[in-house]
Amino acid sequence: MNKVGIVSYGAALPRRRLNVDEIIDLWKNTAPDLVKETQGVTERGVLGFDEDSNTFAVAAAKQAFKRKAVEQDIDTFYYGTCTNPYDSRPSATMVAEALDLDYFTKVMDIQFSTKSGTTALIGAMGMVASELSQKTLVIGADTINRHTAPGDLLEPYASAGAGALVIGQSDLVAEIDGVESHSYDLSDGFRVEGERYIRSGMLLGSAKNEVGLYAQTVAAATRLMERLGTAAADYTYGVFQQNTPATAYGIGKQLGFQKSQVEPSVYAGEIGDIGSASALVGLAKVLDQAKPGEKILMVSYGFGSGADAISLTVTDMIDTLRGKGKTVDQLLTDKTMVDYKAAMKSEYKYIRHAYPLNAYL
Amino acid sequence: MSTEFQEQIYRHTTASCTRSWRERRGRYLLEGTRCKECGAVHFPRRTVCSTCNSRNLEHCQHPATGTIVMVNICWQATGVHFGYGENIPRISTVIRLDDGVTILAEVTDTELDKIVAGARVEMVLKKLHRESNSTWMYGYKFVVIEGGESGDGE
Amino acid sequence: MTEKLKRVAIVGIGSTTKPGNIHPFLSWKELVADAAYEAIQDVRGLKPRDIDGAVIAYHGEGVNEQGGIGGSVADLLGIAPAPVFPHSMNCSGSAVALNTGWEMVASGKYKRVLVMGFEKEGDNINYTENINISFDTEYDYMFGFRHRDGFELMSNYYMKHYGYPDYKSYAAMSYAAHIYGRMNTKASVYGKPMPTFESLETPNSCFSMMGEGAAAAILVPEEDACLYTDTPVYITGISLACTSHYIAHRVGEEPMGPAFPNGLKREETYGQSVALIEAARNAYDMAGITTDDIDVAQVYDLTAGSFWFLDGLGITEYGKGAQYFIDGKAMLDGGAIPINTDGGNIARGHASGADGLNQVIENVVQLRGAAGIRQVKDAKCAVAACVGSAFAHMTVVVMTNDNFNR
Repeated sequence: MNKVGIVSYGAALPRRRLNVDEIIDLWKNTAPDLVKETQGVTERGVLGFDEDSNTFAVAAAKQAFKRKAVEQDIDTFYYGTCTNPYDSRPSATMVAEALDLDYFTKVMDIQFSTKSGTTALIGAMGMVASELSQKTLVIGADTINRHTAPGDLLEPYASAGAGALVIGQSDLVAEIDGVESHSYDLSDGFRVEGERYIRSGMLLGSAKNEVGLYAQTVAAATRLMERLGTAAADYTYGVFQQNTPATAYGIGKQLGFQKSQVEPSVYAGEIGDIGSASALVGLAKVLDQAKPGEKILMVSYGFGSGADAISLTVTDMIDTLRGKGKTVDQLLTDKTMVDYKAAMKSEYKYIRHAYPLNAYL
Repeated sequence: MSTEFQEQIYRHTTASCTRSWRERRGRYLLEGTRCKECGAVHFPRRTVCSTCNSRNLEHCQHPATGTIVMVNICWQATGVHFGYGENIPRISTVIRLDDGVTILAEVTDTELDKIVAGARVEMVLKKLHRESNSTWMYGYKFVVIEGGESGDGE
Repeated sequence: MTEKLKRVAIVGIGSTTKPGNIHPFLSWKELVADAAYEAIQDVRGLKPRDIDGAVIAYHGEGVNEQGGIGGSVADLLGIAPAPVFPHSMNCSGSAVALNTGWEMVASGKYKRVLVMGFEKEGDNINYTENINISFDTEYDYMFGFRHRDGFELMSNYYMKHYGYPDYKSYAAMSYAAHIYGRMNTKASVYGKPMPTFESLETPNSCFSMMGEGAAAAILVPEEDACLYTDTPVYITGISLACTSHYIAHRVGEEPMGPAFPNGLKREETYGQSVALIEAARNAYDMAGITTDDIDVAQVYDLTAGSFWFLDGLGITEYGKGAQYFIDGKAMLDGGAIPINTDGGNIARGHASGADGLNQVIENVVQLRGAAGIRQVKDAKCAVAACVGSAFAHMTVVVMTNDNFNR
């Protein structure tokens, strides 16, 4: 395979945050310790009135272009999400227009899975490695919070965000060593056509993760490492799907990673599950601090879909991107707290009347 | 209902997919016009140059950064547009972009006490609203990136 | 040899009461007929079918969901087949209608012109959205900006730039309006308890009382005026200046290009309407007057609007409009030009399409000497200034009576 890797990266996260205590206090359907200690989440990201997957996608891509001004070279754009604002209408074309990409860009929407971001990345690799593309923009973005019902057991974790990568063949800050995918038809989560809320198809608990989250990620990652001849100890960093910090550490443990290898990528404790952006933002957090020569194993998971595993090696060009865009830590600290009422309002979860609000009445 | 989006039962000016499409670059990219005869720059885009009346205009993407000149933060929900009734206070500003054009825009993702004349701002893309016969509209808003003293912003 | 334009006189006026209230029992047709027939009856010996041309203003077809209104009005008033020219210029509509009526008479083609304006907002739940479309639409309405955002942006700028740290000026203006309103039997506040000055020291004290109403005036050439009235009032200056609706254009007023008034500093444009300055200059030139000649003025009052109207009309220097009210000069005993002597939009009430004419009607009453307890002594020359939309249409009307020395 021709050398392919990351030229630039960017991320975007919601500013509004909600303390999980407020959710648990209201619904009383779970134990605070389970959410905050076991799963490790204390706040979730709340969607603003004027935000969706596409607004985060645009913001993340702009961060990538701030780090490296390659927007003129983009000839292909892969956009991964499972929370597209339309059931039948692409968003990639709108995001492409908002980024002023050339109209002859090969634009593709990859949808429906919370691993759509890394799946988009795999597709991008093919385009670049085959030289069908010089530089491909990859974005993974989701607004899981908009599509999680009030009172759902997963509500304390539901969040939003986007991660963007530019993939190319030269000027790489990280080379992709190899990829593997394990695809599996499991109805552990779903949202049928025309419905608003994603729901779990299986009982929440270790059995669900056994068959789904862990089984798939382990299968994909193990096969990849066998093929590359690497082991967990070869990787400085493990970037794993973070529905919560516990899932990231859990995958790591299954693969033989130490907690210290996983911890640098973990952000979900402060923000929650960001779906297709999950692995990409974990990767961004690692790239914010990684040193030349260090290896990264990134493994994502999507309900109903399976897992992608990607192995990367950081190059000595990584320092050329420092100080030019917002780090994930900066995005995490740039926040404003809201309460549960405000969160329901800005996420449009009230049952709303048919006539317009008008204080002249 | 798939989106639980409130549908208006009375409306007048309807959002139009066609008009939104036609103005998309103005809304996503701050694209206006520049007069090739006299060099005047305009936002929103013009069809005729207001300085020299030339019809010879070209697209011109205005800079995404600027300075706040006028501010209004309104807590009254009277007569708020359909689709914006939850988003109170209504924050409006007039911003002078770095090439001199002035633009009416909302400031978002910023603590209220930082929204003052003289503050430096940068454009972000946010979601506007939709109506029953249109797709979602997106457009520019601005975020304060550097503080301003409460001067006149001139 | 070209015929000179005829001078035009107002010989009859009519308006519905309480334009700041909603009148659920009255349709728009009843409001218009009430005002029009009151004006016709105000004219000695005029029969409805003597009207040979008419103009009517309102917010527009989409607002009242009544299209092609010219024909409907001709039919309504029993004056068909007389032509009725509709205007939709927002709150300045009826002043623009007056301008058109003036042209119709001045040209010599029409002899007895009925000018009207109305607003019937209460039938539509979404009325406020409708008035909000008087804007650039794709770059403001569609972004959620409202009419009042434009006014408040400029008001906030004015107050800060010219150094007014509190809302005493708003209280002073509003208080004056409330006092005048209680002297005007047609005002919405007539007979109601008077608010305290302190309660008005907030930015919300200067919002107009939105309601429904209609207003009308009858115009004839000067040489015919004595047939109809003993107290004619002449339109000696009238103008309309039009510019961009887009509120950000008020800064530096780029759409005016080379027409930008000389001597105006760029920063003076921010809390001001350059189109107003233009309109005022045109109307004053046409009338041959200066601000020294003005005895009474009606200006559009909404937020700090009155302040920059006084500035733009040249009654005060830029930035001093607010101080004028604080110093009590708007009152009858203020030793200066009394302002909004019928209570204005704040107290008389704001039926948008009838605003401009309501201002003119008050000036007619003053110049006729018929204003009773709110009479400005020896009023000979009056000015009315109105705004439409976010300062896109600015109208100024100068009127005099027989006592004014030309």
